[in-house]
Amino acid sequence: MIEAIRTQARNLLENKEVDVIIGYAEGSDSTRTTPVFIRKPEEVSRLIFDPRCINSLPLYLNKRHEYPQKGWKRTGIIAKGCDIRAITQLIAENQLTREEVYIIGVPCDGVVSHFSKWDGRLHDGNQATKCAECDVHTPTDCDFFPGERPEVDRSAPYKVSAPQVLNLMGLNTDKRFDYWRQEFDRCFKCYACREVCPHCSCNICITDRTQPNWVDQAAHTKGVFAWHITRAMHLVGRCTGCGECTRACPMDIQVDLFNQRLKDVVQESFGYKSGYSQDEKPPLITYKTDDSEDFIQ
Amino acid sequence: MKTATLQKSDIGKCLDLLIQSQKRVIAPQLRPRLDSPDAIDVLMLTPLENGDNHQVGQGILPLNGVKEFLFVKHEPILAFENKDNKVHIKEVHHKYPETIIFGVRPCDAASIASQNAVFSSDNAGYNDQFFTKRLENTTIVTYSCTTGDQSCFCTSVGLEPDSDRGSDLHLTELPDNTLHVEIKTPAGERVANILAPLLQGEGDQAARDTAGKEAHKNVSRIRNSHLIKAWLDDQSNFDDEMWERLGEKCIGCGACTFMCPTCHCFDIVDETRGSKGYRIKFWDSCQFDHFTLHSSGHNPRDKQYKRYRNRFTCKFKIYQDKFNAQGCVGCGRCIRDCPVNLDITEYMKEVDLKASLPNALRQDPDFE
Amino acid sequence: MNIYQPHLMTINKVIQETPDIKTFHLVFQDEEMRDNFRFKAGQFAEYSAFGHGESTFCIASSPTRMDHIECCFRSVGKNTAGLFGLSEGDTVGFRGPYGNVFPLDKFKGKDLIFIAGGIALPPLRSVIWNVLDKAEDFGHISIVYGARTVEDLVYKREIEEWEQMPNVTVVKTVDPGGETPEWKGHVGFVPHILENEFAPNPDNTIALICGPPIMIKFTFEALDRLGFKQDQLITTLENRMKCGLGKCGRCNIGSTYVCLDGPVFWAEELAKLPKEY
Ligand SMILES: Cc1cc2nc3c(=O)[nH]c(=O)nc-3n(C[C@H](O)[C@H](O)[C@H](O)COP(=O)(O)OP(=O)(O)OC[C@H]3O[C@@H](n4cnc5c(N)ncnc54)[C@H](O)[C@@H]3O)c2cc1C
Ligand code: SF4
Ligand code: SF4
Ligand code: SF4
Ligand code: SF4
Ligand code: SF4
Ligand code: SF4
Ligand code: FES
Repeated sequence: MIEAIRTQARNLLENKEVDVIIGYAEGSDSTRTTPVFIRKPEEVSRLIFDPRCINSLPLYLNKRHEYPQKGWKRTGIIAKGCDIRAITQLIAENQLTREEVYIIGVPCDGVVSHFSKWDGRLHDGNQATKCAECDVHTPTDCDFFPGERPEVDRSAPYKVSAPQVLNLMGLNTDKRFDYWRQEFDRCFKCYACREVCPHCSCNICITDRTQPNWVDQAAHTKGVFAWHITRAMHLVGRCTGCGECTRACPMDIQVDLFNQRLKDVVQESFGYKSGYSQDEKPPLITYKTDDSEDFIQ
Repeated sequence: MKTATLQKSDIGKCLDLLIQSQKRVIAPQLRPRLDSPDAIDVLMLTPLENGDNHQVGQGILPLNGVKEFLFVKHEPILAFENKDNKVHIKEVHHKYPETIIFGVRPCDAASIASQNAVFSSDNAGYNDQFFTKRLENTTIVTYSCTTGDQSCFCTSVGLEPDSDRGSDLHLTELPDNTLHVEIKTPAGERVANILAPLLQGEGDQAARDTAGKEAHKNVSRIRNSHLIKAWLDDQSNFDDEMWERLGEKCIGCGACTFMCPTCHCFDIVDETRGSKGYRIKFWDSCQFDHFTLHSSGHNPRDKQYKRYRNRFTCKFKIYQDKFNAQGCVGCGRCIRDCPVNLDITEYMKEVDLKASLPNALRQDPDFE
Repeated sequence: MNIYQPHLMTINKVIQETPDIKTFHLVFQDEEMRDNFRFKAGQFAEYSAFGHGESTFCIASSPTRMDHIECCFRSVGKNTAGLFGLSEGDTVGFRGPYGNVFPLDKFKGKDLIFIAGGIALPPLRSVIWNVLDKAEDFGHISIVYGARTVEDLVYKREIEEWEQMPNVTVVKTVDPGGETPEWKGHVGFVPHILENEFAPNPDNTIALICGPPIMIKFTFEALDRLGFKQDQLITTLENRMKCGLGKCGRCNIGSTYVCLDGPVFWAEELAKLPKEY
């Protein structure tokens, strides 16, 4: 599989069909892989794909990460099924046009939840939660796919949230609050959960705005809760469930549990599944970040 | 120097004795988690109520270093109130309880001197009393490492897994399940006095040294760091192609700086509730795009790779030049926690290579 | 008293310089501070509108006139907007003075050219009055000052005062399009007017430059073409700051902390720094 991808990548670069290929390469130790930007045909041998390839690379197509300044006319990207959902969502939100990207889809049986859990193979004990519910092992929309791409019926609703979301939902409000207070006690507002999210695309995040100051900047209880509620609300119907926010959190807080729960709410209330259609707008897209309703605060 | 021996199984009792002596005792502990494949064990230095569930000597490094107990994540530095159209200010008085941090790893202990070099009056005569008063009331009980993980590289920056720098009382595990105890300072002596009922005779210095040497072998990630400073001093390298090539994947999340035990940067804001408010000092990061942004829109570090260049330079040059202290203690946190596997030791390796190459080769554009 | 704690000052007078720039005259509320406070030209301080934060401004008044402290600022963000809303009689916080100074000793007996753009005149104004109050120590004084439009010029009444002084030459300019029918000064960017209209002689002269980074760059180049040497050019930088004390880590250019080692730099010192300002 990887040879077919490398050959295609080389052809694309040689024929100048793309300026760059964003993919995965070996990381700094055997348990890790790293995002890589391949610009020269002779570098394609660095490209790899296996269950350690956790990162959601469409992050680099997000305008916040200096993507437009790079001057790439067309960007090749290695994408798992769930990454393609992220790209689809970016297109649906007019953050990207389909023509800007050349998607090299990869078949994916699942990835490891965190590099520290990699023991040479993927198993139930180290597979990311999202993979257990995945219906895009074979990707949806792509420009190249190594091998045959079978038709998959994806009309079924999302499965309900991961078990731990349901466990939390089963607790009474006080207990649930205690749980989050205990978790958020560790949050120091580094915003890795924001920076790593393919869909946090605001040029200046509402939490960084000072006039007016919507969210207390310091990482005390109020500032932290305000941040996480804001983050969750702003991603309603947009989060494609990549789990990157949880993986990136250096304090190991499972922040995507909020997003998983809201995914269910959106599906129940609006019948909307994010990342499956370039044309269908998220139900809350008309939502304004400067909305003055007090539920934001 | 005075030494003693302690049974490893008595650590819990040690913690209890210290707690009973009315000290705030902080030690590594596992935080309860939800049962989920995405959840990772969370080892944290935590204020203890008793010595039961400590993880002293377990795991590699707690997520949080000692930093957050000295240079705390956020704290008020001033209180103000608007009363009858007049502003009144009040100095804030924090409590600085006598604290013992037990089971600190050598890299974290070494980082305290770096923080102190910034916050104490050694830096331009300005004494940040919030930091220095906490430090005065804190005793550090270090615990030598027996091994490192894939990210540790203390031995590449002049430390050892059994270093006692920054330590008041130093513990080293011996193969026979005892701990070699070294009393390094008067504060360490006071702790040792409290622990006296559990301490036995003299320590076995030879066994301790052997254990240290063994541990040294287990820190596997090795880089040369002695050429880096001179290379960074050469201003022509400021525009080296390496910075953008290695740094372009950085997403500016700031995790590396928040986790780093020597990072000292902070922001100051006012928070008001009605007519009262506090001025608050809280952690900030040079990896954020607005950190250096001028109000005119001009930004001296306008690209992410330049921000990481600043971080690397900070660790291997600025700390030395400006604060006469060590910038990086090799704890590996920034490597473990970078979501895009941007690895500071890759920069070290690359710089070392560049610095040791003859000039002619270095200028060859095809050379990578 | 901790190092972050400000002194309280009362606003004695507010001058609206331009639509978004104001000058404050400030007096310490504490009598002892009033008597003992000292600073030197070039230094800055942290000014706060309580509830809004702190901002870095230079001390715009001269150390030779200690009856009050002046600052002059543009409303651009949270705290500057907060300060902008204050009136005479209100209280502000003040921490300082911080940073290094213009080495006036080294200027003695020399001709001085002050070159500033927009809101950058205040830092030089402190030196200008300091020098004018000791005019016998210095040679001829020239002031080249420009802003985007006539409306954006600060210290209009003082410029008139300087124009009347025998030992002073004032060259005023506004950017093309910024002039009004009554405008009697030049039209053009500061570096251009400096080089082509004013064209000062570099002999025994020091040029003091203050402005946005891009203006500093072009002005240095213009002065270089006029024959000025690096050791005749001195400037003051405005890297973003918070603490002013070398702690918060925000203002550095490589190993140089602008709040401690600056804000005043000779051109030759700047040339040795990485281009991060
Ligand atoms: C040594 C020195 C001397 C100075 N002297 C003077 C002086 O004499 N007079 C003067 O007027 N100024 C001076 N300045 C500049 C002055 O310090 C700043 O303009 C001031 O601190 C801004 O404070 P603020 O709280 O109002 O800005 P903030 O509320 O912090 O807002 C402005 C900043 O917010 C951020 N920001 C938030 N939202 C946005 C957005 N939408 N777009 C862009 N940026 C955004 C940016 O980082 C920007 O820099 C000086 C600076 C220095 C370092
Ligand atoms: S969610 Fe699906 S496509 Fe994405 S990593 Fe898991 S198995 Fe692969
Ligand atoms: S990544 Fe973690 S620590 Fe950082 S802001 Fe998000 S939840 Fe907080
Ligand atoms: S909120 Fe988290 S899970 Fe959802 S898209 Fe963003 S990073 Fe992925
Ligand atoms: S730079 Fe990285 S390895 Fe060095 S002390 Fe900081 S976190 Fe640890
Ligand atoms: S690396 Fe950045 S955040 Fe850390 S101390 Fe240096 S400047 Fe501050
Ligand atoms: S180096 Fe890694 S952890 Fe640090 S800011 Fe960049 S992406 Fe984040
Ligand atoms: S302003 Fe804080 S370090 Fe210079």
